[in-house]
Amino acid sequence: MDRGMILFVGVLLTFTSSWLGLVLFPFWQLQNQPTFQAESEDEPYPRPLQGLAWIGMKVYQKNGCMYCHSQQIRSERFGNWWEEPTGIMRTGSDIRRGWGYRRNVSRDYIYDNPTMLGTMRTGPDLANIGNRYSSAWQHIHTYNPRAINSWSIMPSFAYLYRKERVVGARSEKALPLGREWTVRPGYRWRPNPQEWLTILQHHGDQIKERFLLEVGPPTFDWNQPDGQNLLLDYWLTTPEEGWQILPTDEAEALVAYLLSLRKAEYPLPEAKE
Amino acid sequence: MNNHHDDQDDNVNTSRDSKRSLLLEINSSEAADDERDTIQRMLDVLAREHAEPRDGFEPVPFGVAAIFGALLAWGGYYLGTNSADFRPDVYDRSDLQQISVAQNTIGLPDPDPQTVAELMKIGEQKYAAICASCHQPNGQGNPAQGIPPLDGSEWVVGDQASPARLARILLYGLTGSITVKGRVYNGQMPAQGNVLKDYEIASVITYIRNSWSNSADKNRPPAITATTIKAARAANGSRKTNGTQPYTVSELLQIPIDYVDAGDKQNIETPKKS
Amino acid sequence: MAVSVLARDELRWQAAQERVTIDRSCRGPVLAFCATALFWLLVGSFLALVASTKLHSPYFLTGSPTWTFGRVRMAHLQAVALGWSSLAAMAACLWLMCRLARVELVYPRMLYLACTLWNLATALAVIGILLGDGTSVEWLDAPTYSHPFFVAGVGLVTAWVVATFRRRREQHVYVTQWYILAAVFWFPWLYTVATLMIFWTPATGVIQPIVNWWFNHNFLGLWLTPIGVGIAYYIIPKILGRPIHSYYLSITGFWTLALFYSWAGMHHLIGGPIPAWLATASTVGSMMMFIPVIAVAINHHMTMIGHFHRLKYSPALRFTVFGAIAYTAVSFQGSIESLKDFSEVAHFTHYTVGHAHLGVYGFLAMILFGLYYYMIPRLTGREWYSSKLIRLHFWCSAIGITLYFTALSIGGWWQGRMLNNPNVPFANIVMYVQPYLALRTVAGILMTIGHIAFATLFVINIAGWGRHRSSGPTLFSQPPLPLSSPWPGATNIIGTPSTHL
Repeated sequence: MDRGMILFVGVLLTFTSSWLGLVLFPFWQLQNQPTFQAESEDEPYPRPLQGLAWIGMKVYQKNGCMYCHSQQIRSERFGNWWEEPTGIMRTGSDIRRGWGYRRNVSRDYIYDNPTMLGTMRTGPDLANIGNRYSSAWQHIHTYNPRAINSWSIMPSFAYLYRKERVVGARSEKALPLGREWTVRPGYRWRPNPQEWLTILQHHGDQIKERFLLEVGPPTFDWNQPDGQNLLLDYWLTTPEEGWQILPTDEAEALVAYLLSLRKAEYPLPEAKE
Repeated sequence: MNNHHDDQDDNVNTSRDSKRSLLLEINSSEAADDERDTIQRMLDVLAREHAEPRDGFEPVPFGVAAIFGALLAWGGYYLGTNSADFRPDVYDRSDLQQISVAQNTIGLPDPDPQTVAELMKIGEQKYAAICASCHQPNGQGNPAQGIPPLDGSEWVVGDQASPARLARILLYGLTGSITVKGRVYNGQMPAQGNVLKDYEIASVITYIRNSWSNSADKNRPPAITATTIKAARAANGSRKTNGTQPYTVSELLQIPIDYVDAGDKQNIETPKKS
Repeated sequence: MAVSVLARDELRWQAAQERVTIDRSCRGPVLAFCATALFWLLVGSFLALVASTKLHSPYFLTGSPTWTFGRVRMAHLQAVALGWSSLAAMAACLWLMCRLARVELVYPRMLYLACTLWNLATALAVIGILLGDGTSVEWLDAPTYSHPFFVAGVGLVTAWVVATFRRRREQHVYVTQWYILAAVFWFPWLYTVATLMIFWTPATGVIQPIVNWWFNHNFLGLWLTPIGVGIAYYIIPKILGRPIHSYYLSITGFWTLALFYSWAGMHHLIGGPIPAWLATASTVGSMMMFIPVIAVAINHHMTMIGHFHRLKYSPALRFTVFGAIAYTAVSFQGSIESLKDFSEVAHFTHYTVGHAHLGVYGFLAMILFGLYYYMIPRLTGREWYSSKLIRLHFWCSAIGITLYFTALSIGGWWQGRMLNNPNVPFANIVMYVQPYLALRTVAGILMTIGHIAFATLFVINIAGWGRHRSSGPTLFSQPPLPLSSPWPGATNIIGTPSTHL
């Protein structure tokens, strides 16, 4: 092949085949998918993201959440496992896990821009997460996932939250977290034994009073080191005096976006198995 | 080397000159170089590199060509049978219907465990997989987040618990405020009716009723089996199990404690607190 | 006989002289690409270590938005794919095209401009992502303001390659040149279409990931792979002094790669919300890739046969052959992985990450290292300073990538099996995979040590502190002398050591 023209034409034609087949043809097929309007419903499905949820989608995009979380539920025919008691091979693990009520199809994404399907499940699939967790759960989890799941390796997004002084009453939006999560936002704090002794010296009585009030008479001796540890465990779950963790606008937006993710819920005709 | 070239003619002298001039060029450009190398070594450097690579012309082995042909044939066959006529609205390849795995789940009846032990076994797995992240593995819930405990809850094993009510909470979800063990919770229980099968819901309910400090079904047959759930679904007809039509506590309270759905078995005692 | 020997001698001298002139003309621009590529390799290695550590120690560098995992991961990919791999690949294109076409490098300023533009684009990408402008589009994570610079940079390189090819003195077009010409033609088209359809005039919904994965897989298969394979096609026969085994296999390999590789992209979306025929077409394309990979493997293997002992001595050959073997392995793995039953398990897991790194590192980076070890002394006139450092580099990289691949393949496979069983709580899966992720960090540290050794060698060479080339090549160990004569009866003409390495 010593002629440049042969090379050029060949290379052009082979590449054009894939460009036509994998880019242009699907583009023509899928470009103008309409929303689905059921007679019994008021609204067509899907609907574009509005307002705060749209901003939240941007927060999701900028922070690379997609690189651990997918947003695509696979079909009932994907994901095989041997069911233990019965010994039958089952399929449809994405749905059986509770990640969605049905598989996702292309119509679920027509208003997504960018379409963050994701190809990693370091964390669970989020296509239908809006259905599973409340906004309070999402805020705490985003702030420090280990406050809910000790085994989690998801990063702490404490920078989306601000730690403020409490002026007057605690804000309604304050995250209900004990001080072990709020003293060093994003980390889990535990005083070392020396620090704890110092704290006990200054505030021990108040802590014990509060313990009696909230929990009742102690089943351990809190003058012994073991008991003091247990008292510390309790004290760490109490909120930090005078401080609160509040979500910034970005955090509110992100949670609004997560709550809007209900992609595998609405029944669509083409999503039948 | 010099010996050899001494008895040659002009051709060699020309080449020797070109080598020398090349040498001078190289030497002068390596200004910082301390080593004053011999002609020998300089020429070695240039000559030790082989010529640019060239092609050999061995034929393609027959076996290899046969393998290529077989692959192409397979490719064509696979493309033909799994493309669903290149339709944009078919998302699963039609071959998936042939696999025995799918056949194993289509048409096979669901299991219907009737003993507490069997139900608990399934229920434990399902609870850990789906419920534990909110209600916690120890059944204590999370008051700060509006998630009530199940351990010792009157709605699970107490005076507010009944198979019909529990079935509905699981099937359709629960919204609004609920009082559990003296405390008010304002969370949102997601519906599991689309996610779990009837026998799985029955298993989970049996599990929570018989775990931690709960033991509602001790020494008796299980109060709730797949039939219960199926009957509850039937009784509610068109009510959606996708979470868009959850129950509220006031709706639950309208169901009498001893109410049994048609089609459910009749061996219900009023569950007592453990 | 003496006369014919001298005529051959004369031809060799002319060829050697020509090569010296070519190398001298290539020196500036090629070294610019090489040096900046190496810089991005170090940046990318550092970012990789940060990202990898965070996955098993989530409190590492927590608290600052710049260093959150999602951003660091995007920045890492840009630094190693667009920074290191692409710049080194472009250096390869320049030097190999000049060498094979037997012309000096012209329009150096065009190339300096291209190098500057591409580096600027990569810097914008990496810094932009860390500061919060990432796009969460895989492989195209760079912010949109970097796109014009990428396009301009590669456009200049493409124009230069075509111009140089048209000026060629060597009439025969060798395999490597086909791959280079094809790669520089395909890549700008890929990049332009993908960025247009995803960012500038976004297509709706699921078409974006379709175009995205068409681009991503072709970035690997039609830009990086051809150049990597082309380099191997050059280095192996060049160092051995033997012809490539079969021209017909080269032709088969090239055209089947061109035809099939571009169809394989949708295997990243198997099971996803795309029409069934797309997934099928890609499975077929991926399986058909056995053909070019087998063709290339036979060519390389049969050329090497009888000469595997040379791997003991030559760094360039060792790195390149490692890469070539890794190419065969990773391609076979990829073809199998595209079948539904495998994809079901491996999709969404760390297994795919292991596969990807076997490709871009085990195959491409090792071959690029081989090229550097061969090419740089010819450009600078200096040999590598220390054989020990080369050895450190090789073993750190080889053991590193092997550990990386093994750890993530085992961990990822079981992760996939567990993900497919809804009775396994997600917590168990996360905890199970942790030790494998920690092993990956260990592997990454090894690889980074190798890169630092490599960078040290490079800097020493560029700065002119290395030995002069006439003292002989820097080898792992000294071969027995004489290894071979240039031609019969010529033991004294060129003299020893006639180590054609």
